[in-house]
Amino acid sequence: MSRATHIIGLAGTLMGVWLLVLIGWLPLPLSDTVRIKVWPTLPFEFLVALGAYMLGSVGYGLLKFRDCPEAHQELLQEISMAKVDLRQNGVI
Amino acid sequence: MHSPVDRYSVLLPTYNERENLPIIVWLLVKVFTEHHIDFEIIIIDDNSPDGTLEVARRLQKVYGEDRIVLRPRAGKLGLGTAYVHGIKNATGNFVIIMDADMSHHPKFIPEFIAKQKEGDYDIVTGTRYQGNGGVYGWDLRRKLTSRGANVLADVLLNPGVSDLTGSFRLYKKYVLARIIESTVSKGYVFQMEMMIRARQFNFSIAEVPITFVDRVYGESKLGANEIIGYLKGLFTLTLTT
Repeated sequence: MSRATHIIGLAGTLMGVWLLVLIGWLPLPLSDTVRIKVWPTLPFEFLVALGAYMLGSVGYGLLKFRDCPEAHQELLQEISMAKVDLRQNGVI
Repeated sequence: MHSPVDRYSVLLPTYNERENLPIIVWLLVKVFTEHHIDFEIIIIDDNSPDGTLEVARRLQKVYGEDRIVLRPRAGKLGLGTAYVHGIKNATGNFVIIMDADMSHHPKFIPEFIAKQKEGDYDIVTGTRYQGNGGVYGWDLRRKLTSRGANVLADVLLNPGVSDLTGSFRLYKKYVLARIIESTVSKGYVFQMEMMIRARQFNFSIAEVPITFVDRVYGESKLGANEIIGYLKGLFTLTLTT
């Protein structure tokens, strides 16, 4: 089973349950406020939450992104050491 | 620490790396010698017009034919087939793949090896996004693209690896051979697909933080074409794996 069928299957199941509750075929002990005001908006809220999660992850990743100037410095030093040695050996 | 039978074959696919190749080889030899690790470096040059192969021949004279192995090819044939070509000639029981442009530093190889032994892992992959890992030389746009690409891949493919597009990795040789057989993607997606396939085959993967210094010589490219190629590849993987 591919990732796509897995994702579509999961989304389809959730949508099915949501729809059954929405049209009243699946009685859940919900208060009227929840059933009328909250339940119909759940899919959209899920999308918003997913988007927020992804944006948040990108932002967090950016904040945690480490520049490593010390690695660059070290590499430059090693390059000059290597060049001296390689010249002596006639490689460059 | 190392059992005497372990030998590590480094695959270095090159195309116009005349400047970088001698230095990366020098660094590799230094690290392996200092840590008493048995190794060979397999250089797979795709007929570079800048004379990379001549430099490689001189390196072979200096370091010996048992350490530097030349397996040139007639033209630019892609990364996947370069690995296949390299594995065929590898005498080690482990294979290390890395870029020849010095963005991957050999000093991390002993850490990869130690990590591999810790849990007898099939694969150890370098990660720029954890612990003391990092990248030098990227602007905000490049960082944003990279993070975005990883988050998108995470949500769609749930690969369980923090640096999907990294290409500094240690494999058991038969594991790499098995994975490469079933990998079809090209470009940035190639390394990502290798991780997804690895998980499908239930190979164990460990991560080691690495620093990545963007090319000192030459230019690294990330344009619209690379991004579109990545997105296409990502969706193809979502549909097919």
